[in-house]
Amino acid sequence: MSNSKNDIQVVYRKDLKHCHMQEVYWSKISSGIGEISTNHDAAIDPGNKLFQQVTGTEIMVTTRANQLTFLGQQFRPIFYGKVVYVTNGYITLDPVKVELPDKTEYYFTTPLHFPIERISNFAPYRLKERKK
Amino acid sequence: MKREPNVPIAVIRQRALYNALREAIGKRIFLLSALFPFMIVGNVWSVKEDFVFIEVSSSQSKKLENEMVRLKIDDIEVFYFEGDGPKIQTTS
Repeated sequence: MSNSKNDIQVVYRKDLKHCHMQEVYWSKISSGIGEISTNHDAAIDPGNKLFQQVTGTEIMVTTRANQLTFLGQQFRPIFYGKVVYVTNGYITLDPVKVELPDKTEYYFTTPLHFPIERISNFAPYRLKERKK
Repeated sequence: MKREPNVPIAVIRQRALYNALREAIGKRIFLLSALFPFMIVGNVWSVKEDFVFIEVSSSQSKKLENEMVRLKIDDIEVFYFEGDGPKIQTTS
């Protein structure tokens, strides 16, 4: 790698003053500060920029599978969540919500990584507004 | 990162994903797939080309428990491996 300044490189940095712990954690990963850095792909390929543009916002992600099975229930692979981390290979949502067939919502206990190649579409979605 | 000439974006994404799983070797992983066995919780042992070797600790099917599964990485729909973040809870 050359040391010359690369115009393509975009690193997402956030003002941490008013963030809660979760956001601080993920922003540290994505900007590569501190020991917890797993910052192998800090420089995002220009082709993946559209995913980096939605970092920090809430989106709805549909993946390419017809249906997924989890906890013995089959559901459509539509996930709602906030994008916290983007690499060239996958994006990370945290927290992640799915709607189960019995109309209940399920929040995953961990963040989830979505391989970009398996994403069919994504759209902005506000988690709080739609909550009743 | 400067893109190598004539490398399609799909290949770059694939490579980055394979590398991410290579970094997950030795860690616990949770994944969902559209194909059998649908859900796996286990430890990543190694990554060979486009296959990942996972020692299953719990799964949809009891047959696979404590077995080494070779899983095609491109069939993974959703995954999460434990780093310094939250730990995977086994629901059983």
